[in-house]
Amino acid sequence: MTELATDLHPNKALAHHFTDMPQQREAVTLGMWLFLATEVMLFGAIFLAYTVYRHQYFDSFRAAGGHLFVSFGTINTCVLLTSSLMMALAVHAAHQGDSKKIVRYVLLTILFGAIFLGIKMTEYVIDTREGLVPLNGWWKAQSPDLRVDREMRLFFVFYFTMTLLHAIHMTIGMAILAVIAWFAHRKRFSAEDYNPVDVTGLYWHFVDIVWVFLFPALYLVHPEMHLFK
Amino acid sequence: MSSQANPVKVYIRVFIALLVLLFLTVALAFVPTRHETARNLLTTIGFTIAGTKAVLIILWFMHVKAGTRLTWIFAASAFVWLLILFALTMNDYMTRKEIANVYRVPTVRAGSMNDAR
Amino acid sequence: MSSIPYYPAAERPQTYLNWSYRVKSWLFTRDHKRIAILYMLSITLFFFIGGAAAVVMRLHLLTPDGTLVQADTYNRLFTLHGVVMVFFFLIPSIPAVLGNFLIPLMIGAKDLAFPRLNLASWYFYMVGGLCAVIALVAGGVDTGWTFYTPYSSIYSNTNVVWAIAGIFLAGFSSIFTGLNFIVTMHKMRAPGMTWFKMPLFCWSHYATSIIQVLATPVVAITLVLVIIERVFHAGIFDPSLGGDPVLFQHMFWFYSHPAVYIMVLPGMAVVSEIIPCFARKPIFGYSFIAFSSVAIAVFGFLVWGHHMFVSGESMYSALIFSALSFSVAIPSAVKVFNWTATLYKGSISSATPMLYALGFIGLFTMGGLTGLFLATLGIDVHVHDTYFIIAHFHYIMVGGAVMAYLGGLHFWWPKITGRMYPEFMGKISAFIIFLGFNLTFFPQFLLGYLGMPRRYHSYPPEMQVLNVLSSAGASILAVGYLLPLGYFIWSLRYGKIAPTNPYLATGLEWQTTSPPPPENFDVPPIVTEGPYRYDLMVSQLGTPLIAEGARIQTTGSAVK
Repeated sequence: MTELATDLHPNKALAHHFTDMPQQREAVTLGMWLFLATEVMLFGAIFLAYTVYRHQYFDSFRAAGGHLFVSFGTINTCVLLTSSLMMALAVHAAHQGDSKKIVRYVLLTILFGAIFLGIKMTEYVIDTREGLVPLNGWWKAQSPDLRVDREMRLFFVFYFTMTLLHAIHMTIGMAILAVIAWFAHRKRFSAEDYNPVDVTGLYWHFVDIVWVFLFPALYLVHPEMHLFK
Repeated sequence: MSSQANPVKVYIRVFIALLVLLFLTVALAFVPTRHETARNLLTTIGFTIAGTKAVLIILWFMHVKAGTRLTWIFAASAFVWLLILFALTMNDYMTRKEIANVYRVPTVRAGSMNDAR
Repeated sequence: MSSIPYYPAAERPQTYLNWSYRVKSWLFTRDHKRIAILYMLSITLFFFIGGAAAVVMRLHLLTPDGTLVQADTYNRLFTLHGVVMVFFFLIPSIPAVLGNFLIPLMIGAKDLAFPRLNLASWYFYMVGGLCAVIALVAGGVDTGWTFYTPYSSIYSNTNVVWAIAGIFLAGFSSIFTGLNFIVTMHKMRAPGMTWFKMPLFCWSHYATSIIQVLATPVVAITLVLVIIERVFHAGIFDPSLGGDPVLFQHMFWFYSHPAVYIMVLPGMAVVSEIIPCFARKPIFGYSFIAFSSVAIAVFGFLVWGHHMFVSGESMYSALIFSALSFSVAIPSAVKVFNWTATLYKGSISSATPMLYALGFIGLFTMGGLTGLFLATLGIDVHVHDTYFIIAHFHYIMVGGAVMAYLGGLHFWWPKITGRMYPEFMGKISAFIIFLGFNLTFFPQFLLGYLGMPRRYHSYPPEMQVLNVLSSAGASILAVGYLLPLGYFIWSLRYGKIAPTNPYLATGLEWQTTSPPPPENFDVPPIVTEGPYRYDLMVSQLGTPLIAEGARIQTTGSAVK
């Protein structure tokens, strides 16, 4: 549609089918919220499956959860919350049209995201060594009782599925944030036109929220735990 | 989405609140208990804290507090639907054992009836 | 708008169809009208693929022993039929074709809110379709369209992963469409177009979109879990590893029951437009119909457990689901009563779209009422997984959704293509489809009640008469579907040039040229009146239907 009305608009940032910037901004924000609603349902369905089995196999799930490091989980939650704060500050900078600050805070967001993923990888490596990966050939029996063992294996199926799904979402978010940082560096945003920063922020905070629920669900099932096992 | 963003101070305060809640929930997980009720209570508190953290993030970091009514509705809708999914599914799982108990009695009776026949 | 002159074909103004003929201008278009056309072509292809499978099955069932195909092939045929028809035809049918084309026109917008996302949705759909075709070519899938575990996750030796991947991608296309519609209706309405001035078509699509956005992700992740099961033997749905297969059914039906309303709500959308137009009356109970759409969408989420009455679901759960299932009947009945009340004392004419709409009302009512049988616990146990279910949901999906799709296609064909369909042929095919449909599926109610299970490739000899009737009906139905395919194509070249408003219908889409210009309206419309002001039109014009070239100005008069 390039030869149609797009070029006639005085404002390049305004797509041809919107009448003004507020309309475009509201539409994009609303679209992002709807997308996040789909994400809530996506993660929610997995949480449902987890809840069903945790309800049924409560003791085995507690035993399995005891194999995770609360310390790593807690530190990672701190890291992710910090990255969320950085994102909020980036959006704040965007509202004020301060490109330099956008770049700084977005890069910090990415950095904390990377630290999170790094810690997660470390955990995965340790989990693998301990035979907690629920794949044939990788899984080592965790309990002499066959029934308990297979229920613990189920816990780790959820642990890996959920955290990997979360990590995938983070990776996508970091890729988008990198683009945002580049655009901000090229002065693409202004106090009137900061939509992409805004909605990416929404997405990033959502990913944070997912972890806020994953953390107690996976790491804190086991009361009377020890900090380093 | 209001054009005047929250002042930085608010973000910092929310962040500190989030950290406090995080350490609270971790601390609770170390409470030694073997009582079924106490465990369930701890789990409930744990997830309530998680929910509170989520609400803090949604209201301030995601600007819903300053947002339009439409944003409120959209932000809440998915959680309402999630509630439907959870409530009706868990209703099945929570009552399955009851069923087993109900069925146990007639099974015996049916057996005795067979004997009589 | 009323001053749009009538051009001979050669000197027509620029339309969305003729502004560029390059292939690129179609494949990379962001115009919702062109994307609707892309969708129309692709779903037609899938409709006939799925239809062909149905024809083979019905031929096979002519004899009790079924000599035509092997039992295994039969399993693959009904799976193919189900997967293709549900995920690649019915779900995108009305929303992605008619909804895509019409919603921006109806609310006076230049395009949907996210044109790129709209195009992406078509590509997701096509890649998903490609995966499904790969699964088909590589030997098919034999799980049934429901992919019940643990059969699909462990035992089936067919291309389950490909088929599921296809459905997963098509699911994204559905989410994108729904997301686009909701945002568009919230933010893109023309000045003066308040919520209660929107045509009911939009309300129904809004309700549909709610389901698409909130239910589809659940089935997406469920199907991913099935793939994980299959590839890694994770055990989430595998009883031998501690999993629960019934959980799959919960998660699957949380989407797939509301998905029925993704199929039928848009059908109701179409009917709500056609009925007042050909009864020349304002729609009866506008707000009731509008809110009943939303109610169906919401109630539809509360009833999925009625698919699991015999799957080992808890008795209390089944009771609650059974009771809740009845609630869907209320908004559905509200709609049916309001349509019939609209017909009351109307000047009814039997144009082709109207025949389809009337067919819809009758068949949907039958499908809906038999649904109440199935919501009843005791009866469901008797007829579960029999042909009674098959007949019931085909009355909703074929008698309802497909009839409405065809009705809508005829109704808006002049707007979409700028050509009239041949009226006589249209009527003939509408009758053939109605007859063929009932002959195909009514005997199946009886067969089901007699106890013939679904998905069996053979049956007891005493059931042959009813099966032969059903197969005969299917052949008539096939003719009925091929006819429109033929005359629609014919009409593109030989059909009469369509005027702006061939039926003297209300609605903004009839105020712009046929076919519309690339940006929908030459002058941005301002809406001053509510929808369905057929009372005004009759008193002002008293014109008989299909007065060609007549131009009127009522609803949504444009600014000069």
